[in-house]
Amino acid sequence: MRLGFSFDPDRCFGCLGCVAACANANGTPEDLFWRRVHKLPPEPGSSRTVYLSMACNHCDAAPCAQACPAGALTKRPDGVVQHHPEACIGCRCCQMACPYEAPQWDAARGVISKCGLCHDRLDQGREPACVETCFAGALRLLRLEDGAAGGGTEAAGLIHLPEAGPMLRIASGPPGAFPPALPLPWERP
Amino acid sequence: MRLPNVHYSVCPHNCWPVNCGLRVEVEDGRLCALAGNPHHDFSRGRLCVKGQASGEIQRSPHRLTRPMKRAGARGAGAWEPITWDEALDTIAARMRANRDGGRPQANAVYHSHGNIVQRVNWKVLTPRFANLVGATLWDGNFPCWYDVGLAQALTGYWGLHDPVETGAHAAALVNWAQDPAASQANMVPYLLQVRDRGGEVVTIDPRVTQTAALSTWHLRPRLGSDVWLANGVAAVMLREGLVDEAAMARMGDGFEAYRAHVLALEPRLAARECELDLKDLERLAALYGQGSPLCTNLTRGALGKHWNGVQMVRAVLCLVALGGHIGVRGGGVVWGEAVDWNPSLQAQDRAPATPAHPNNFNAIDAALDSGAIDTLLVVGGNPLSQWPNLNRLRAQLARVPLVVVNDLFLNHTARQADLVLPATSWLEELGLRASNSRIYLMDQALPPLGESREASWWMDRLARRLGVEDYFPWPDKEACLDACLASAACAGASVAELRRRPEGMPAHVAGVPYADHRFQTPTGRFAFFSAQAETLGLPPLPTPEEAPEGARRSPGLLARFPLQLVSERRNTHFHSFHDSHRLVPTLRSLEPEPLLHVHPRDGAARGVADGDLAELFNDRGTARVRVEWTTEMAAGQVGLNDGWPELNLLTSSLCPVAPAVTAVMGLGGQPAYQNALVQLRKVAP
Repeated sequence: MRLGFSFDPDRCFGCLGCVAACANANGTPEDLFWRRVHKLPPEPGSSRTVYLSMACNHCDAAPCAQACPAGALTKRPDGVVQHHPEACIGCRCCQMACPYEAPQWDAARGVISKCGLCHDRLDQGREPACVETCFAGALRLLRLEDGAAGGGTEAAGLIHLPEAGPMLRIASGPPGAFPPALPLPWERP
Repeated sequence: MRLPNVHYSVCPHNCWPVNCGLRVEVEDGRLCALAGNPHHDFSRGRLCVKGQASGEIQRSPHRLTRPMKRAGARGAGAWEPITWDEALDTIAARMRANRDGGRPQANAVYHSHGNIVQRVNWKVLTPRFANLVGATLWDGNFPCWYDVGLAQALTGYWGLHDPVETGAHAAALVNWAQDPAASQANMVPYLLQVRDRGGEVVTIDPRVTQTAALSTWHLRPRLGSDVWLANGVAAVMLREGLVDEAAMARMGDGFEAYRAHVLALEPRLAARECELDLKDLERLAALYGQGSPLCTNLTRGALGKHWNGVQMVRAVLCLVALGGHIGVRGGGVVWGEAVDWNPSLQAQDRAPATPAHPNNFNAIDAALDSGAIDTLLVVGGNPLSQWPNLNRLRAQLARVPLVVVNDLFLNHTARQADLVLPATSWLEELGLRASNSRIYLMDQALPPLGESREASWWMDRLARRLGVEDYFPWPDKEACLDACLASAACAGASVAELRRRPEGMPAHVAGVPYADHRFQTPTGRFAFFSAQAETLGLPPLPTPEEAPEGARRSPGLLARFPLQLVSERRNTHFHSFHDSHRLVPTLRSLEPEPLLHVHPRDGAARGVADGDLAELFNDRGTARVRVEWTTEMAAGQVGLNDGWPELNLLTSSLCPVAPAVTAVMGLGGQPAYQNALVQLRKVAP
């Protein structure tokens, strides 16, 4: 299993809900966001702004982990690139190595901090906070089975960057149904 | 079983028509987690950027926790704590003197979104207070949609369709001057359902909006040309035989007059007035006339912020009727709430005979200007950010002898007040919320912070000081809410029942509004021609009129101020809540200062680059803004978020609807926020 994000630019409308959901769920400090939304205003003659919501892409080759001299960035078996602040020495090598500006500098604590794909939520069977709150279904959890068809780095829609192997799929998927409300937490008489 | 520390409420931002559900966890009297309520039947666990950040409101160290009076000159920033008794005695003394002196209307209450997000405060408890003590009541909705409401009242058609029904059944959706993606992100799933089924999703807006990014077709007419557009499309439909004219004549009053009025308009001329191609009007006519359900989204009051807004909305409503979309599942107009609370509790019958100043900006401006207001209670509102022409308003408020602000935070208006009263947060009150078809409980999850108290608590104590003993005759808030729920729409609902239903309860409202073609006009018919409008001195048929301050009617002003200022909405703001959200760290980080959208050509022509600090100015004021170059704006227009007071340093006090109209209809009186001319210049950093 390799996990990452799938992003559909035809559905994103730049609401920043994912950015705030991440901050709310992970308690990141003010002015420090693990996820950001980039905006490409319309070309002349076009009527469409394109938005791109990005956080850590949990790369296969994880240049950040390769660059870290302290072993503070590790790759979980499910592909999540996890940061261990207690081991971080604050050298910021990972920031220089990451092609996506994913690792963020927490000046108050003198360490790096970054998206961990809400691995504690994943372990409880929940989706990452940013995915869960997306009104458009533009942001989804990407799960590629090892060895399964389409599971290689050349899988459709995956960003091709051989030296990093980002697990970010940019694709307009089939229309996602708006998930129904969860059943009630207790039985009504 | 529900865990004792889990509570369900709704988001504190007053979105329209539905608020997202919240699930909060509390431990030892403190908020430990806030997230979307996954059981909520509309939002289904999702929250937008403001909702996700709303826990920061509750946890803010900047909350007001005790009543205070100013300790120096107004606006000097020095405050001293006082008791509730001292604050209420001070207010009561002036209110009593005004009443006993024969001018009770000099006591005014202005309540806005911070108060009316609690629906019973809006519809019952605050009007009840004003009626029982005989004060003037200014409703915070007048800047938002009162001219839209007037147009709907004159036409007799309020829409009232549920977005859920639109998502499930509409073949097409037209966002007419609406940007729900920026203002009510929770409507996006329903908009996308229409698109995913292959339906056309249209956005009509001069700007490239966030909703345009999700639309299949974006139409960019000239700013303010909406009557030309709607009437031009209607003309095409009538010429091409796309209208069931016999059905229109059966349903409405004055269809023949409307038909002749519209057919007198040459569609090619209408297209030219809108700066569109004739084929755009023909395509829109084909869409409205195709016979399958088309929903028009008029959720926000954007059109009402134009000088000609009443006519714009009238024109669109007539077009909706013409396409046969009224009373059709998945058709109609998405708008507002259809759920009524117990109307008898407003105590309308006990309001004094003295006429109060109507809830119309012309009347408000005149009352403040003439010194007719002595004591102003501002409840959950922020006029010194949200009302137009702030330099004028600031001078007017400075002459009001007693200004009291009841809020969570020291906002722009509170800083210029004499007294501030600390408000409880939405998690510290038991409350109710409704959508167009459902009722939700806002459960109390936390005790009031410090000495903060909810509005009905201090209104009761103030009313008693004025000799009114029965403002709050209930033993507690739950009994009060149960009394409010005693209405036809809320039959079967009670606080206890709602508490067991975090998904919300259906209200008893029509599944398909207006299926019986009964309309709220004196004749019960749809008013193509409004005799009522004619009596009130308004055009009886939707008629275009250029704004007094605009590109066409004021060439002299345009030479000095060649840019049209557009009041925008972005996800990071709900008006100027929480001191323009500067007290909510996540929102402050995402939009730390007023950001002006400028077309690159307009920026370059003035030497103002992307990211520069600049001044936006006209004869009314000067605002300091950060510039963002973007091709989302049309050249000649600049856009500023309505959550910043900087916008309203520049907007004008012009308000097209006369107080006499509002006095009769109870609606109308929105300022023409969208009609302001400005110029931009670079400033040194």
